[in-house]
Amino acid sequence: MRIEVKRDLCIGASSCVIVAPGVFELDSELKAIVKDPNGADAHTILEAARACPTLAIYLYDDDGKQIFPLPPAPTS
Amino acid sequence: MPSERTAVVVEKRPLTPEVRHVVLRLDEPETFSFQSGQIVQFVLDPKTLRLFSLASAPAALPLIELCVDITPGGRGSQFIERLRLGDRVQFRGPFGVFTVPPAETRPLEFVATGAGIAPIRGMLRGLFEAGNRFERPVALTFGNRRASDILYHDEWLALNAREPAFRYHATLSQPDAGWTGLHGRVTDALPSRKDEFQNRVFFLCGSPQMVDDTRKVLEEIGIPERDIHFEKFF
Ligand SMILES: Cc1cc2nc3c(=O)[nH]c(=O)nc-3n(C[C@H](O)[C@H](O)[C@H](O)COP(=O)(O)OP(=O)(O)OC[C@H]3O[C@@H](n4cnc5c(N)ncnc54)[C@H](O)[C@@H]3O)c2cc1C
Ligand code: SF4
Repeated sequence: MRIEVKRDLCIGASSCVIVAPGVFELDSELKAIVKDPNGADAHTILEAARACPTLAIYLYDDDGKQIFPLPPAPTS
Repeated sequence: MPSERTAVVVEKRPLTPEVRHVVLRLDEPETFSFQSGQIVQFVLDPKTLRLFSLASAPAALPLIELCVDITPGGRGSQFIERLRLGDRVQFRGPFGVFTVPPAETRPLEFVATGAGIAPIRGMLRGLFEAGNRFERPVALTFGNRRASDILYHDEWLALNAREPAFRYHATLSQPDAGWTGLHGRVTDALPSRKDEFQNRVFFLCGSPQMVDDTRKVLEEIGIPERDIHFEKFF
């Protein structure tokens, strides 16, 4: 899995760091960076991405396909 | 660089011994627009940021409202507790994606505990001030310990009485004698209504534990993950 933090969306809320401290940390500009992509299991990383209030964390599978955020639900 | 805003504290009152309702008047409202449910960020010092949800809807601009539980007692809580009428505050935003998507027309289920009601109050106000455009059912399940902990209880009762589409389900985990509403946590209250939940969209807000417990219950009921929006108050 590839993890990308969209720096322009990150507001330094640190929710990701609380959920997955082995993976994310805040840099000197209080933006999240990936310190170790293998610092937690895939489920924890997904939960960290889900906890981000601005959806600044994008996840891609090994084929490069975006797995988070999910596309919006179809509405009826 | 996010744009910095300034506003003046025009009202502050305790909703309970632990929760403060704060009203701010923006200095430059013409430069500020937001969607109900979004957050703002206070920069307490260059290394200390705190987020609070907007508990009001855009129709209230130039006023914005916050609903803050000061129980944690840290820098954010102290900042709110020290605010006095007339103080000028600086913040950034709006930010966040915890909003009802404009294209979403399905019935809505809101679930909150404690100050997690803040963004949901914003969303409910936004929906009903706009006349609940899609005339869809909208429900609020609100969990608290005791009746005296229920934030904006009178507002929800009034909305329930006024809006045929709105249903208010208050549930108490430590109900007082004489409480005639639901007993238990929100996770106890939701499964009994599962037959109503087909094709509904959920918005959960509260502590990380409450949000995760509720997600689990909803997933067990069969609600697809993509129909469960949530915000965790870390
Ligand atoms: C998206 C969002 C919206 C919010 N909206 C509201 C609201 O409308 N009303 C409200 O009352 N509160 C809200 N909160 C919570 C609020 O931002 C503060 O966290 C809360 O007020 C406590 O702040 P404090 O400084 O008093 O407490 P403290 O406990 O001193 O600080 C809390 C801070 O510590 C961080 N933190 C928490 N747990 C950990 C941990 N395990 N490891 C490392 N860091 C941690 C949090 O990121 C938070 O910034 C929101 C939080 C988020 C993320
Ligand atoms: S949770 Fe989102 S906004 Fe907060 S630090 Fe992590 S990536 Fe940035």
